[in-house]
Amino acid sequence: MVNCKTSILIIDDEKISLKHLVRIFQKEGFDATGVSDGEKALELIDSKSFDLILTDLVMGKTGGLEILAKAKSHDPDTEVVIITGYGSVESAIEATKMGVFHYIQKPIRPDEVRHIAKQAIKKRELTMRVRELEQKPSQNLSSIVGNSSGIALIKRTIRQIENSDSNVLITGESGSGKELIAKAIHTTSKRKDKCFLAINCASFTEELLANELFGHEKDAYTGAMQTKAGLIETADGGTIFFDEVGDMPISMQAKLLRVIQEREVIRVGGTKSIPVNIRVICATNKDLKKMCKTGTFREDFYFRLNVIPIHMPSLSERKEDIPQLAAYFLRRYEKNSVKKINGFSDEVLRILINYEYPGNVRELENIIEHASSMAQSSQIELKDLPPDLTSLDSFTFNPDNQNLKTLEEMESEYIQWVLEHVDYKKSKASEILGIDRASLYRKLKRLEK
Amino acid sequence: MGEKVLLIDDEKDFIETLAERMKNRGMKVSTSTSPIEALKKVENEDFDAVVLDLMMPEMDGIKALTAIREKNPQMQVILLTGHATIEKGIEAMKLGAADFLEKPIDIAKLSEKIKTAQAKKMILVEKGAEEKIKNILGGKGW
Repeated sequence: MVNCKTSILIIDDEKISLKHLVRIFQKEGFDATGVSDGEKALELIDSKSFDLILTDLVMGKTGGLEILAKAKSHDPDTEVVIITGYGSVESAIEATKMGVFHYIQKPIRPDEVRHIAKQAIKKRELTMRVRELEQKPSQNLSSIVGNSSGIALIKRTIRQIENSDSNVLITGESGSGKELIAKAIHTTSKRKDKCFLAINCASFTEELLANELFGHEKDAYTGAMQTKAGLIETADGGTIFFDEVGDMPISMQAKLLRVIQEREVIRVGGTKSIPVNIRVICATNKDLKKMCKTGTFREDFYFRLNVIPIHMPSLSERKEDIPQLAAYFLRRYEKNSVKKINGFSDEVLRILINYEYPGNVRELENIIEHASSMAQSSQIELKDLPPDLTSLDSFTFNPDNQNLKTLEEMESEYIQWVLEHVDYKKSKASEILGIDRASLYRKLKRLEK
Repeated sequence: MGEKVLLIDDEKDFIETLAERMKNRGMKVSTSTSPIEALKKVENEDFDAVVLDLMMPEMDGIKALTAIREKNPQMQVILLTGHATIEKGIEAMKLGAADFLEKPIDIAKLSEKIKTAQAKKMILVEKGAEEKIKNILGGKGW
């Protein structure tokens, strides 16, 4: 759009002012067409797309608002500017609601019109550009959040294998973001325009998995009414991602090994082999090497997959990334929330960093989602965090700490903490502490001394 | 179903009469004579529409509009004014006002605009939910 000449349609029933406007824009180097009646303009809009339309509001039969509606329904990206000698608040509001770019009152000043038109064209170009970019999958690695050494190493590896077709094995704990890495590998590879297919091996039975992956011939078994291409076939030219490959049945491993080795599939019940061009990325949270030794995973299959190994560190191994990840998830969930949230209180950040995350990044994401929907102010506070997380805080023992506490000190601190939590309602506190109220009073009295 | 509306205007008499008339039409109406206080209300409560006077001594209506939209981007704000200019009207609409109405108020027109605003808000909320589901579906492989 940027290269070809910008087309402008100008509609005004006053011949002199129409001529004047057309001349202004032709001088600027635009492809400007002038029409003096509304009906003709509607026909023109139907036949071709204009970048910008300048129209008078009040004309004979067809008015500016009708032209605006037509233009927007034909191409929503066309920008429309209304010029009028009979401006009213009502028509101005109506026009803005319908998506007019600007509303200019006569008498017009050439500079003003020129400026507004240029702005409108710029906006259209930007919209087109954004659309273009949105359609392409993101080619950079910005989806991988974090700067820790582990993540930097992974990013470097992904960059290095951009032009390669080798199989990749991603290992890492559950929830650490293995699928994200697989997607990033796909979108940076030369296969990025082809499909990316994610299959969770644990969610299918063996028969179903075979049927889905390889497809079947007509009458291969009862109920196979017609030939069906398998997922591997449809992913030809693209990338297939097998998640939880450690849960794949051993017989299935043999079949898949054949596909990877020979680069061809045979449909269930078929005899003909069909060549396929796929790249395989696998991920697992299991120790495949150990599984090979115990015989639950085929060694030859393991070596085929483990051409480029990538290990995803668990979140507790890369604590320095937690603030950045938390901010990233907050931005994502803030969009769904009606409130605007700017960040975390220091206390919350401290708890987030100190937490151990058995569920890794996925758990952090859930915590932030929970907190952002509970948040009542523009900052995430302690009370917005899931309750089990905040209660954990009081039990964090720091082995490096030199001044370790006595049991009594610990008890008094905990009682204080619980009291604060229930707004000093003693009956509730005693319920939580599992002692009766009298004991609580007694303990408090002793603490006062 | 009654629409839940918040009226913001510094003229106490005007706002009370208007609230009464709208209540008669079956709407649930809250009022506020101070935009600053109203902002707090918007933060804590959800409304189908906010009707806001453009000229108030405490805070310019345009400023209040921006503040409300910042706090709650889905909020539908209808601006009222005694002395409308085309420029002000366009500015307000571009800043995200749902509609713009001139005083003296035609109550039928206003309630119609409130109904449209409510419908629009419902679509926005539904769309938000839909997107969430799409994200979930897209986020998980099969």
